[in-house]
Amino acid sequence: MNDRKRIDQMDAVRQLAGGIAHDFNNLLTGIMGFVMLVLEDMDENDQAYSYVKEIEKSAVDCREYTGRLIFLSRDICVEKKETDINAVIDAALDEMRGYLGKDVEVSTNMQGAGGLEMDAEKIQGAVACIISDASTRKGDLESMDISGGKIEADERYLEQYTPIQEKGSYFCLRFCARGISISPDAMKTLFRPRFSSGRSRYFGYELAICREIAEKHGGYASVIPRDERTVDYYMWLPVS
Amino acid sequence: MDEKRFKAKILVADDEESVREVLKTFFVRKEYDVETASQGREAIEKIESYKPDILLLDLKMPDMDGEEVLKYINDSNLKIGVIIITGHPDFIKDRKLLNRAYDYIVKPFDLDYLNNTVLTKVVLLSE
Repeated sequence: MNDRKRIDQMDAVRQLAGGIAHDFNNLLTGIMGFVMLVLEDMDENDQAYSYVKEIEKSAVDCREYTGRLIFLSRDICVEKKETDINAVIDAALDEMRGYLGKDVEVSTNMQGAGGLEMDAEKIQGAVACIISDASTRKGDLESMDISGGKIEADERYLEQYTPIQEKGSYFCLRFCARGISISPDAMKTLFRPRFSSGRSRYFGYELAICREIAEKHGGYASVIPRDERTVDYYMWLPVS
Repeated sequence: MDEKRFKAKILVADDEESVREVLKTFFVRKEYDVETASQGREAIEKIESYKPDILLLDLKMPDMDGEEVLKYINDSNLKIGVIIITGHPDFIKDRKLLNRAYDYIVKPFDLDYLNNTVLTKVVLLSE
């Protein structure tokens, strides 16, 4: 798929997601509002009270869904500022704690992370996307080692990491996910917008979003299976 | 805060019937006077005839969007506390215009939160 087609496809997805989120939020306003009014009129000991509370709970879950659709519908505009990447990773891990599960071991190791210029909110979103993608892949995610450091992308480096198009200095973020695999077929369409329900936080669009965020920073993203049970997710962000 | 400083009039302008109904029911219970409008032009007609103190204004309406209604209020120098209620936080084109509204709340909102916002504006209007 060429870049123009991919951009058009993401724009179409954005518009659709925004429209659906808007309409669902309207409907949810009615549902949640009337639920609140009904609950005000009910006795807490009434059995039906607990049923209405269940409706309220489901409506709150739906609101969380529409929040994700709104994230998906947003055009990615990047505003770079000096950022502490450690804080960004910590915030993303906090945000995604529920997706990772309590048994997944996480380690972080950042080298030379000072003075990086990036859009902290967008990079946090990209990290959340990687975590969501890893947690929905085949297998059981056992651990994630997150490491980062400055690299010099010379000709040899570009040969090894083909997604990088230009030589230069980058901050390379690597997310080594153990316990999961990606089939060769899935690798062919990895960054294409696709729909996936279930545990996926952004409906299967995680890697498409992640790549767009990296590209808007002037960087790159890639996924490289290391072996049958380990997948490395990469982001390279230019260092000025 | 005293909720009954004066019986404020609220106009709910929203094209979604369930939103109009729930807000009308809720604010009537809170002893406000409430009218509704399902379209932008109807909202402007009711602003003229009903003279609301508070306008709960949806942004996306079929004939005339909320931004145009807000612009009309500003151009006419009307003293109405406008609270924008929208299903999508990014559906406003003119951010400067947004600053002229009293507040901006994204759906689905908590009714008590909206009530507090309305109440604060009503108190300010009554002073």
